[in-house]
Amino acid sequence: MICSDVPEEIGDLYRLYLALNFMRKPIITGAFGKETWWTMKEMLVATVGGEAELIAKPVAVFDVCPSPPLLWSDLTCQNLIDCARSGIPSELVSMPLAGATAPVTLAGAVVQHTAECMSGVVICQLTQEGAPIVWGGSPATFDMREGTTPMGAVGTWMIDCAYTQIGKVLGMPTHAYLGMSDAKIVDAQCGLESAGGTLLAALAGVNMVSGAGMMDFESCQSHEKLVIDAEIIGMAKRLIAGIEARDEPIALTLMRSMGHRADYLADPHTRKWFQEELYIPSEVIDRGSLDGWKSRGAKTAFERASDRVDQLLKNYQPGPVSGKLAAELRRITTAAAQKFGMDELPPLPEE
Amino acid sequence: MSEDLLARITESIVEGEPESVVALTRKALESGLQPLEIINQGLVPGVNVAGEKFARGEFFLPHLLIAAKGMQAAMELLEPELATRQQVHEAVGTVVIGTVQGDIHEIGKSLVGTMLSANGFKVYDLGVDVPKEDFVARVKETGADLLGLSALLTTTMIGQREVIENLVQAGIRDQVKVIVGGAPVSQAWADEIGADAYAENAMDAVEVARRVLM
Repeated sequence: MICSDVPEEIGDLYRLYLALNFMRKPIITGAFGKETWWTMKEMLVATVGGEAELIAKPVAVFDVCPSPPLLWSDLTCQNLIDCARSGIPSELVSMPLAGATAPVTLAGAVVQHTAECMSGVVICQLTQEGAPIVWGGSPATFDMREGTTPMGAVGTWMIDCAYTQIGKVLGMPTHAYLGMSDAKIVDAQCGLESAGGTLLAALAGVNMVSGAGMMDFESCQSHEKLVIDAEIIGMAKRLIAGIEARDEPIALTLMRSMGHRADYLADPHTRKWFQEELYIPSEVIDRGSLDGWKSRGAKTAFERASDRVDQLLKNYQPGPVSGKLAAELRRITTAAAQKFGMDELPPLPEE
Repeated sequence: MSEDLLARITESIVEGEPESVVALTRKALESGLQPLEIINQGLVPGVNVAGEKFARGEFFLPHLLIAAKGMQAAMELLEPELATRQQVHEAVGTVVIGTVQGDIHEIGKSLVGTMLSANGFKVYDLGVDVPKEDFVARVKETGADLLGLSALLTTTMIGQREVIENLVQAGIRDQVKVIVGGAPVSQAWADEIGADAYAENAMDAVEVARRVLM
């Protein structure tokens, strides 16, 4: 996310400022500069109350990206070293582009990814043995007509899954960019690419998946796509939870007593287990009859998603950020902004 | 015989065989064909056929790039010959291209450079992370007709505006046509920053470059 209402030089720390004010989930972030990294660290330390506390309970993971093929830039190498020294988790995001910056053969691209991430692990661990690190990436195949890097291509997903397998063999936590689409609107291409990638990520056992809400390669964040992706993720989580022999086992007693009566719907066993066993989607997914759908306005997935976005935003209760922390975050960020000519930060959404 | 050689040169450009292109070009020179004939009736038709096949969906970027490589390899052989004979291969135009400061993305930019070069432009590719002053200096030095600016990040595309401002300050804005491109770039952005044109991809860039010079 690039915010265009603040000076470019503080783009990285400003989005972290926003995240720390509103997000209660782990944050994946990254620095655009060597110095701004330190400001971002200051904000993280302020959030948890100390450097030791931050090491014990990380709040954010920093993406660090080698430059394919087989190079580290001064900036990202420095970020990696600073993360390692401070015990802040770094996520290696190697991004071979098969056929452009890496061999077009998928195996070749995976090997390049391994080499780049391995070098990142070496840099990190030589700096600080035991520093937390994630085996991640954002590879793609190269579209040979458009010269673009499709995140919705099956070859892209295959490289992701293959390098995830390697990361697991090495005993590393893994990350991948999956669940994105190259579509410009929330349409069938958007749905199929997002679902394909997300389900594969689940089956491959990727630990951290970046991509929900992202479309038009990685250049657009869509609220509507985000709530649709939430449905896909819900399904994916249900998928990897698997099939369990629930109840004594497999409800044999129940089946014997039911015999040929199709009366399961009314049975207590069904009421007891259905919410755990079935992924129950929101109204974004339409499962009504044709007439039902018509009577509700004959809405498209995009329209239903849009309604849900409105509803979620309306009912949103921001978790409490203590006044003291909010003030400290504002102080740090304002000081950084002033160095680049902005006296006051833009108001926060709730203001 | 000479037609046959020229046809074979065209074919080896299209087939993507740079070594054959060079060998046949050498043969053609030895047989007495003029460098300009070889270029205009052997190499250029080959590049054009490759471009047409790409437009029809038969050829893809790798085919185009290998065709361009064949052309470049042959030109390396022919340029000294042109010089010796005091002949000039008239370039369609002279272009300075590069990726703006702070941005190290180069694939798209290099593709554009290659396609422009294969289509008869004289291209000075300044590489990536190019300071604005360097763009201006090179445009002055080469008398370029066109300046191509590439940016792949929303944070670095601002650099395209800054280069244009620098051209204005240097008093040479009206001497060169500026074409901008890159993933976050659009016609709207090009209009906003006062660029002369926007090119969406490498093939488009050739069309746009030709149109802008007309």
